[in-house]
Amino acid sequence: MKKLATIISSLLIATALYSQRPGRIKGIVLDLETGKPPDGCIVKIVEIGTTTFADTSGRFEFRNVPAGVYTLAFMFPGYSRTIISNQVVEEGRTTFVEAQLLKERAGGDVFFIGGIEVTSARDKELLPEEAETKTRITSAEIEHIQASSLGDVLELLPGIEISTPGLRDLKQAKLRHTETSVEAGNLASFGTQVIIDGSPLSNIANMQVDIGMMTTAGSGVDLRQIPADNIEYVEVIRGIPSVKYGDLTSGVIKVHTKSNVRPPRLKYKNNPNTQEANLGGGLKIFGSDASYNVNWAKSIRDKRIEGDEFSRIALQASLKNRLFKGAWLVTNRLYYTRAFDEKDEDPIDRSRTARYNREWTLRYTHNSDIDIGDKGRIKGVASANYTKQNSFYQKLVSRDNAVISDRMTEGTQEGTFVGVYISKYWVKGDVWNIYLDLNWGNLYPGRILSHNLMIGTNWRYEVNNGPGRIFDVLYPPPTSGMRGDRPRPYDDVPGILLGSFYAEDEISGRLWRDFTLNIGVRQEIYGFKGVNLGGIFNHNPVFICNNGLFLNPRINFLYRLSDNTQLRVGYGKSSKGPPLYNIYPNPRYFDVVDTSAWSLDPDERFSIVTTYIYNRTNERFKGYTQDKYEASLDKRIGYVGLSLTAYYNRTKGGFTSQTTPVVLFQYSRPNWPSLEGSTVKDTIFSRIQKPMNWVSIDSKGLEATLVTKEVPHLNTVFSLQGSYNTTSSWDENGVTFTLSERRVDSLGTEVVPCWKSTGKWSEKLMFDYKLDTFVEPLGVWITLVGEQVVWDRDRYTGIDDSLAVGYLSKSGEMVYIPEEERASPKYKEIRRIYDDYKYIIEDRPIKWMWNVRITKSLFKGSEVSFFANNIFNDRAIYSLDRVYPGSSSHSYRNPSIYYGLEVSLILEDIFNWPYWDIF
Amino acid sequence: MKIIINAGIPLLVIGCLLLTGCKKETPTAVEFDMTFVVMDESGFMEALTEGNLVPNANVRIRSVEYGTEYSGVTDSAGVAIISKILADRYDVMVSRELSPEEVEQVTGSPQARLLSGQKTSVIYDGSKEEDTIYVNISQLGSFVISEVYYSGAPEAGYYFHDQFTEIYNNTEDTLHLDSILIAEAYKGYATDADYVHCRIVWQFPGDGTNYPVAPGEMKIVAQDGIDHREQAPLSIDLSNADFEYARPAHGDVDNPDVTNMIEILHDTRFDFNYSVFRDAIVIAKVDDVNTLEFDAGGNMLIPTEAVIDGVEWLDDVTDYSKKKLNAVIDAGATGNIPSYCGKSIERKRAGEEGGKIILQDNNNSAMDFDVLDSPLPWSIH
Repeated sequence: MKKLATIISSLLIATALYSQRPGRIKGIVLDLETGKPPDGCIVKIVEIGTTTFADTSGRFEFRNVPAGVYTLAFMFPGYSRTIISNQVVEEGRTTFVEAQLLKERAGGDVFFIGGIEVTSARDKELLPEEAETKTRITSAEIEHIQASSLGDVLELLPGIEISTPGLRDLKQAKLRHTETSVEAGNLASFGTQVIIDGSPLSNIANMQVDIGMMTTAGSGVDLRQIPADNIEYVEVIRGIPSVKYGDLTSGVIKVHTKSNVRPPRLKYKNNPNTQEANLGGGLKIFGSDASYNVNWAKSIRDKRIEGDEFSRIALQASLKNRLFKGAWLVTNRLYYTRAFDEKDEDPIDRSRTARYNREWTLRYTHNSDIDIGDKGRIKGVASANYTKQNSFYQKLVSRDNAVISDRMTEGTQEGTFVGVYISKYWVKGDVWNIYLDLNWGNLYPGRILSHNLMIGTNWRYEVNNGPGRIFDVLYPPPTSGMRGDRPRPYDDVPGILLGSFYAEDEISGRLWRDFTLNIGVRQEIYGFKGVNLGGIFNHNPVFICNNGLFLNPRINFLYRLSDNTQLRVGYGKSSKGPPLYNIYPNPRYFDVVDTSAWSLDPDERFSIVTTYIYNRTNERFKGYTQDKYEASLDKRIGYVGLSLTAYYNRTKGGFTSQTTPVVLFQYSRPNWPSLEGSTVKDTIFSRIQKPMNWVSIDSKGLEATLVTKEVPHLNTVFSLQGSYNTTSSWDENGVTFTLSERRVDSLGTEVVPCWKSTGKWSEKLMFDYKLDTFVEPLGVWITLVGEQVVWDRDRYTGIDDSLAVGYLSKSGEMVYIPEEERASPKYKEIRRIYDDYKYIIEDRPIKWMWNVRITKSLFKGSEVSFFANNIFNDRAIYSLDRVYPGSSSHSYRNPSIYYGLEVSLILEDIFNWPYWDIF
Repeated sequence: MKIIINAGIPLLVIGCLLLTGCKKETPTAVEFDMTFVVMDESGFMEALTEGNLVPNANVRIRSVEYGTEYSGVTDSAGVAIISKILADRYDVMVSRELSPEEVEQVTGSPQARLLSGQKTSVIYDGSKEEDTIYVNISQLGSFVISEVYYSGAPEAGYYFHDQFTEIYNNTEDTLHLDSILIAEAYKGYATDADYVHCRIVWQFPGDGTNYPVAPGEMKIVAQDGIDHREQAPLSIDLSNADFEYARPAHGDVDNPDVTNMIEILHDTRFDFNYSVFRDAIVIAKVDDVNTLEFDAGGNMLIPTEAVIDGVEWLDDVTDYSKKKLNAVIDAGATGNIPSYCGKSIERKRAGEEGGKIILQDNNNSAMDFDVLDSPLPWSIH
């Protein structure tokens, strides 16, 4: 009976909803004074709770609005919130609304300093509008800190320390992570997805490994390739992202580049190590918005060394069109980036090192936004990216007088004697990255609940078919032990196809108070191989794939307790596919010299070498996952907005490289050149690295943000950002081997023992105190930032376990000691005791760093910016505690004082200069 | 009133400055004279002179921190006065050569011997004006490391595979190199007086009598026993070396005419090469190398009693914080030569006896070694 009642009432509600033929609200929003539309104004139907964005021409539309009387709210930074009430919507008809927004005047006017629109930085919304924890960084803030690339921009986020801007060092993004081990840091940056105009950058097919210098393979993309001057705004989602975003763990960084019509603006930046010039603008061509940006930057790493520098050229062009009377918004973008990371050979360098890392990227992105009326909206992103990687490394090799082999297959042959030589090798990759995302969404407003549905699919194909590692086999790059080395082309490395399907419903309604519930699920398929529809019936997976099948639900709940208080709670699972070089690592060659006889006469020298090849390919190497939990409380009290967030992220199955010993045999070959009668004459241990999936990371913390509106008469905005994070990383079931074998009497042979891997724990509490003062009559914006790190601690974990887990014996047998026997005296000789000092917690004292940024207008359309980091040059030198007694080690916790100047001018206004009259 | 304040205060300030400026004494550091009394514990001096004070002994003091040195010679009363030394922490080294005539008077056989003694890390700050140093007959009972050529060949890039170690029989009897260990100490354990923590350990082959060394004879252990002038023209020819460190399975060249050493413990290095900057090696004799234990870092522990000799070299001889060997084995360090310059370190002569050279062994490389401009295998300069 109860069941019947439920069915009948659902049908009634459904018919009630359906019987009303919905109406429509369409309109236009403009600036009252200028008549120009603000780009991207938020429009909201207050009673239903749904929001939409007005486009660049100020037009907006709500479809499927049930008949009724509604209030519309219009919000855009810099303008007063405008409310238009009593808008009647009739069945099947369209209601037209025209809104005019008034620029807000709160204790000082909104204004431009030169070419920087300061409005957006002054007037942030005090309460977040969306359920996900996001930070929005505007172009004004980016210009004010004189960022050279996206890497410098991230210092505005909580928990990230300010560092020297520029292109000298690698910059990667690690969200909500305190440094523990190198592997954990790599996973944190690899798991942060950087999306440029809807298309993600990917580091999966980067095979630049074994190149003798710093590479980003296996970790996050190098953010230096994204120039900051062309960024309109950046949104960083640190919390639980919508299911629209996949193949990530830590978070999403969404970059929107400038693509609107604007006068050309020239910028030049100079500081002790970096020079940068940028020209960008946009114009209307045949009814389309065309935009361009040209950027050149150069950073010198060490002034004393000539020729050690990093340069970058970045070009971008975009074309925006409206087709079919505005129903189809199309944007086409083309990007070209070229990096030069050069270190020339220094004439006095005895080791004759020289290297370069030259890379260029060409990328095409297409965004389509199609409005199909009542049926909803289709959005598509398609992009193709080609990167040509080219690294070179040269060095004098003098490891020893040695015997090597040039054999490319397994087997035995005569060897070659080498001494000291110069080795040159190249690693060249051709990386292709094809991306497609298609989704459909529609809004179903209702009396009680409104649904905003979205269904989509997302595909990505990455492949690297470059020439690979290239060098002359008789002059191999430096290696260690018996590890030989051979060239390797990448065309034997297949591509990887990642696919996903996602669906999401954003439910808005009222449960005593307004709420928004965002539920979604995303099925991610890494290494897609095919579909097995029969699997639905026999409980087998429907998707056949190699590198992991992950079902990721995401839930975000926003509850408005009052006009000034809201609660946000979220849970989500996310996953990330593995990099190609973990699935198809370079094969390892071992050259064992069976016989070697040197002689004064080079012609009489003789040697026999046997080559063994270890193929480390693991086609089933899986991706890794992260479970995320988050809860936030936002409160607005008068002119102050406060936000408190607690989070917990648990990463499992992260990849790392484990060093494992291998046993090789040396043979005596009495009947050479015949191999008959060969006998084992000795056993040798060597090492091999294997990618493993066993890193776990536990990251939890608190973030607090306090922001005020501009204080009248002081013209100052005060903001405080606090971040507390504790991160712990360890290997689940991981073991570590010693570096060398030893003879153990109780076991009667030489062994390489292994123990449980150790982990690391770290904790950090830091605060950013920021004062922004705006003085319009002078055209000045001054920012003072104080960065305080209160707690900065770390220690080792898992160093209490001194018992051996197992050992590799000389016969090649890997023995695992059963748990109950590990403490037995038989294995006493292979216990590992850690020195007492390893137990010490490194507890660093409080440190401060003060930074100032000033932007001042020069004349119309032109401004100059000055910044200084660490103005008191407090290097915060710290003497480490956890060192062997009697020795000492120091670290500089703050970068040295650094400053820079930037000048910009809008070229259009130059021709109106009154100064031309002088001539 | 205003005039008093306006003029008075500056005048007062100037007055005070003048007063303090009048002092004639200039500030000085604490300098004082130190008296050293050298006494012999071995009984030798008593047998010679009926008193155990040691005349004509060289007293050398060296600042631990700064490396500054002062020296003096004891008078007939066994007393040396070293004047105007600064308050500091010092190492004191005393040595007195005993001529063959003196030795013949006491023991009956004319051979040069050495009395030596030391005190490490003592603070002299003027509170005490005298100190007594005890000397003893230095050990001459075994092999010594007589030369180490470690710095690498000049003008050959980074070529340092021509390194060798020369071992000398400093006694009057024939000794055997069989199963003696040569090991490289690992950093960070200099405070351990009981064990030498060794990262790399190699052993001479033989079962007891295969490799004899006559008195006054020396043997060369080369890193690679080949003619190095092929790769580095300014290097030396070691194709006639007595022994070589060989890891042929790993690709290391092997000269079939040169006896290979046995690898006991080795790390990831390609061959057993010493550091061209700073390093420390010891030779030791144990009954069974398989019974030796390991420390937490995987280094083999060689007991100090088993060590026959040790030598340590540093690139900066004033910085003893980088020392690897405990003061019991080697209280000082030699070296101070740039890398890849072709120079080597050789032990000094203590004297001669019947045509056989006796080398100094004070267990202090700072006292015992000299720097040679080019290596001299198989001979003492």
